[in-house]
Amino acid sequence: MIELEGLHKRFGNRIAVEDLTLRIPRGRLVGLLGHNGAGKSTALGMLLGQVFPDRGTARIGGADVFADRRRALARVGAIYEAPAFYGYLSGWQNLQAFTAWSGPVSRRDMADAAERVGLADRIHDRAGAYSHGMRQRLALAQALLPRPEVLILDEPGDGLDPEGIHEMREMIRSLHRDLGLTVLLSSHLLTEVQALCTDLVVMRQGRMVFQGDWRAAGGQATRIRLIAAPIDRALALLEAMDLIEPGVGPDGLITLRPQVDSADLAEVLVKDRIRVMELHEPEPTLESFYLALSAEPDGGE
Amino acid sequence: MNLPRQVGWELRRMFARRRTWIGFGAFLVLQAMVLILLQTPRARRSFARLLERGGYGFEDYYAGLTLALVVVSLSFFLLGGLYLALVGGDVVAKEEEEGTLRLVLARPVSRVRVAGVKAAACAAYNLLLVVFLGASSLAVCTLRFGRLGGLFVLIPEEGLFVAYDPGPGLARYVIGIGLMAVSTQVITAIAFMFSCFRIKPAAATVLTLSVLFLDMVLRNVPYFADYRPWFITHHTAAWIRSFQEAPAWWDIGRSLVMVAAVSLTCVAIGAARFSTRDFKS
Repeated sequence: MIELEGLHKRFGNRIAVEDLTLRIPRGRLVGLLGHNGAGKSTALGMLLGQVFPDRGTARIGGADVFADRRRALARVGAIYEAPAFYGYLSGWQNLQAFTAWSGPVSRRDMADAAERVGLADRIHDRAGAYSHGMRQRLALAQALLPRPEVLILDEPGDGLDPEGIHEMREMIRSLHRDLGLTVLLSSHLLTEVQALCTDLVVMRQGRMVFQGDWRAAGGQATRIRLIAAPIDRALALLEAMDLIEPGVGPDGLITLRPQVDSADLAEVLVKDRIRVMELHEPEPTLESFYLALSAEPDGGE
Repeated sequence: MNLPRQVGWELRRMFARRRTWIGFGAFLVLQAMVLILLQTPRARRSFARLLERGGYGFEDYYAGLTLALVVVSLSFFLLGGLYLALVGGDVVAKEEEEGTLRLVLARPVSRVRVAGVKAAACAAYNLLLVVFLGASSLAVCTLRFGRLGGLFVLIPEEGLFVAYDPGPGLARYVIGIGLMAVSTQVITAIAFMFSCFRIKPAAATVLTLSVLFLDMVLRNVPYFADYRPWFITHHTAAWIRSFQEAPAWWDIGRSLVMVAAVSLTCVAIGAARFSTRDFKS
């Protein structure tokens, strides 16, 4: 559904995106992660035809975004960077003004979109009086008109309070589930992406360093939490027996050598009369995955 | 098929802004002020002297039409150019600054279409503003004097010293305002062009006014008298030449073609820049 091929963009001396090649099949919900300045917004900008690449192509539904912009974006709804509206118009009039660019939309569809994002009772208020959360909802409503197949959302939870983030997450989830939309969302809120997406694209300094299902990503070492007494002797023993990597991570976890599991550790520690209070392999989090990826010199490619 | 709807929404947005109505209100206040100044004893004496020198009766011509023409000329010179440059300078740059353009450009519409719609909306706004100025000046002045009166026009630099009876005078006034609405299109076109570049809205306005001011100053330098047709402000003043007893329609037409050519060139440059640049904060 979305295909980026060798996209490259430079702003002055700075490479914003370097040879980005990416394929997102129809119906997937994909998170685009990266630090500030990693190139997420530039990549989305190129995907939406707002930023011209120095080289490479971007296609949506088979249509080239730059050569056949109208067809490529015909089934795309998007929020790109911080959404802004005409504050002197009502939310409803804003929807009319924006959809005027893409063709007639029935009042029924507009009302449905407002209802879906929970703005039905305030849609006729002046947009200038909307809170940040309401503006985000209105942005999502305009992205849903007229009936997109692809949603491209740039930091949809940015600036929202926890309640707003939760509501936005549920809205995106239901749009993906109920309407079968293909969703590409960029965020630096790891918990949000973890809650929504299994498929990830991670960018670092303009380069894509990971794409795929992060939970199933191979090559990731097992990390466990160990509480034992005396801990120093336990760690020294395990290191000496080459069962774990040297040192303890910043998150308090130790990393097992390949082919080693927690039962091996327990056996060695008990034999040596070290008291083991906890030996636990926590559920992998996106944060630990992301941090591990970021810590690698080449970002885990 | 969407084009009228898109231009309509652009205009609707322009007129939904409070500052548009403040602007129109400011014109009415300015017109009233100019009218008051034109009725001071000294101004009346000056009018009377000029009319009597040409053998025209003061009471016949010091009325709605004559004063409406003075009021509309002065108010456009003092505020109209600035206002049109503001509107044209804002049309893209302001939307980019406020961020609404990002949502527009995320929709399946070509950039050329977006630029074209915005340029068309500016042109329509320009037309509406000048027509409003012409109509409101005439209404205010006619109401003040209770009669239309004849039309007396004196513009020495254009060699104009003519008077018309109320009927023909009104026809000349309507034609003049119509030509003004067309010939001033170049102001919004230049402002639109600057607005399409990566620039602050105020900078687009200032650049437009600077270009026009420089053009006007140079046009009036005696050394360049032979080159006047090369200056755009010579052509934007074509509407004034329509008040001549026997207007040189060929010359006026040539000026309008020049205005159209420069305006379309500016719009094309602006649209080309708009279509080829990155939009990212």
